[in-house]
Amino acid sequence: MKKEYQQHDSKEADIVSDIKIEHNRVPKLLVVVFYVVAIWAIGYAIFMPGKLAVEPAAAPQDNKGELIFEGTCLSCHATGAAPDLSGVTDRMPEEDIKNVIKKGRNTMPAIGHLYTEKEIDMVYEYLKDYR
Amino acid sequence: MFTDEKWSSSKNWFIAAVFWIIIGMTMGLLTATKQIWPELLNNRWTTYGHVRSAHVMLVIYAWLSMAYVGSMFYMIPKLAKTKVYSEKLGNFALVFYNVVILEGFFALLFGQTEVIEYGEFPLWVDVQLLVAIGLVAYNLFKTVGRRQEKMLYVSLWYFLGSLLWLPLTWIVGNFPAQWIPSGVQQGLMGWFLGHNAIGLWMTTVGVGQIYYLLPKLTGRPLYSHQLSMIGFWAIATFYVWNGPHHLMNGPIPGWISKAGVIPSIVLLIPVWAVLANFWGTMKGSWSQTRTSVPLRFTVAGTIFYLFACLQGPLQALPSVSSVIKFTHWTVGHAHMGPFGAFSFTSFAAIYYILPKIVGREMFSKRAMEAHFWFSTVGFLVFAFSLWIAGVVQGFAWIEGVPFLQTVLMMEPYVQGRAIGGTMMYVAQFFLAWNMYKTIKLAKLEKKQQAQQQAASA
Repeated sequence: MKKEYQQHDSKEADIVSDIKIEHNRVPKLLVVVFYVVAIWAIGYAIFMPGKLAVEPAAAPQDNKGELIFEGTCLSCHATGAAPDLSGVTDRMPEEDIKNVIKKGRNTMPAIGHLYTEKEIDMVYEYLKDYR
Repeated sequence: MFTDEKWSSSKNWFIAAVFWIIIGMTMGLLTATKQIWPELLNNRWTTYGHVRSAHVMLVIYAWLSMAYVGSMFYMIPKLAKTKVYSEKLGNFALVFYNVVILEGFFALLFGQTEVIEYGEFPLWVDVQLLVAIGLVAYNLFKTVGRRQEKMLYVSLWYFLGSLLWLPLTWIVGNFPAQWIPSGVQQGLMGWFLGHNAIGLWMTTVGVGQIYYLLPKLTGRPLYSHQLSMIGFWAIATFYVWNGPHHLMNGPIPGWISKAGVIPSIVLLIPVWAVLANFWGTMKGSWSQTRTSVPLRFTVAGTIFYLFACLQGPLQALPSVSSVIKFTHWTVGHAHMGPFGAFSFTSFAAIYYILPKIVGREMFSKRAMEAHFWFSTVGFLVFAFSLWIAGVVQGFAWIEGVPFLQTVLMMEPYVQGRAIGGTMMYVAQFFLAWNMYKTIKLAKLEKKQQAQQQAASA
């Protein structure tokens, strides 16, 4: 095999369409690169996921009540447009508070359709500690 | 109606190509400028989205493709030692192709698009363009079929392959996307065209051009037949797989993702084989780049090709992609092949072929020099601005810097890009003016000769 190659390499240059073509050997460095790339490819195919390993999605948010309260309620209840809510759970029963959130009252719009039952529970839980 | 004159197809395709590079790069510069002054020309037709897609489609399918066809209409008959099968058909195809490009250009400005990168033209334009490409391919295949030279030179492998691959990728990328359910499948179909328009048309014709130009310009033999074989067959085998790396870390199945990453890295084999072959051919001729502008363009093209193909495979890796995806980096990289590598080889082809067709030297050597330096320096300013911008952006997003703040951070880089782009744009006017003068003077000289002959007779 090797002999054949050497004979092939020592062959005179071909002339195709008046352009001379030599038969120089493939540079050694390139041969090494080709092998490295080939081995890498096989290894990658077997051992790698082919995507970025992403950390598992974060645990369900325990502070959702707080987030909703700060993002939604406080836009009115902290600006003076609506009453202050600190200690509201002492002044009103649970059912009424949840009903107000769901159906609205006076100028307060109904926001029940925006949140699940569970989320509204979480908002109530947060309100209990909001003093 | 259509002329039958020898080499007229090649010449006319070149003239049209240079006309379109001006239009296409005007669109590009407008895109860059709009990122600085968003209110500029902000009307129904030239909104940012319309202008950007017009720029992409025009520089690739109008300028670059026409320059490619122009050089093939000269190189293929030369290598096959025969005439072009039909100069008339070549000229007809040119007119038809230009009409289709105009239709596509206006369709984009009117807001019609397929939303596929590198395949933005609407369906009714796609079909016509396919016919135009078919006419060119038929003509050139017939030419090779009537060849007098038994052996096929390397460039011919690349040219013939590209003329088959372009219609195929065009069909796969443009048509099924209309009928398959939208989403990931459409994205993969679209990127099949997106990557193969680059890999099996721009790259392969460009490399074929270099294989032809280097031995001709340096007068040295091609370095290695074996390397040519490795380069050609490896690119033909692996390039077609590369589409999925554009959807890296996206919602595609893992095995498709891998099928995109691995060939991207394996592409180092054909790229390095081809470049080793080029630079082996250059041995002892490097000093000629000082005087010969076409050779300098070709060699600069090979160097930009190396850079593009060092970036490309690395960008396909999931980790790297996660940083630079959707940033300015991608834009810098995307200009590397089409402008830095293959527009350069097309400039070289024009400067080498046009004098041979019209029978006189290029009118101005200084304009050629200006064209080279403005293009090169402009492109480097442009590209480095975008690469730095991309890295900064990518890491800022990972850090969680608010998005608007990252937009403001980009200001100096976007300005740098526009300055580099302006230089690249100015350069092309030197090319257009030089070509115009050369062709005009050649006509004049021919006339004078004919008069003198008539007088002396």
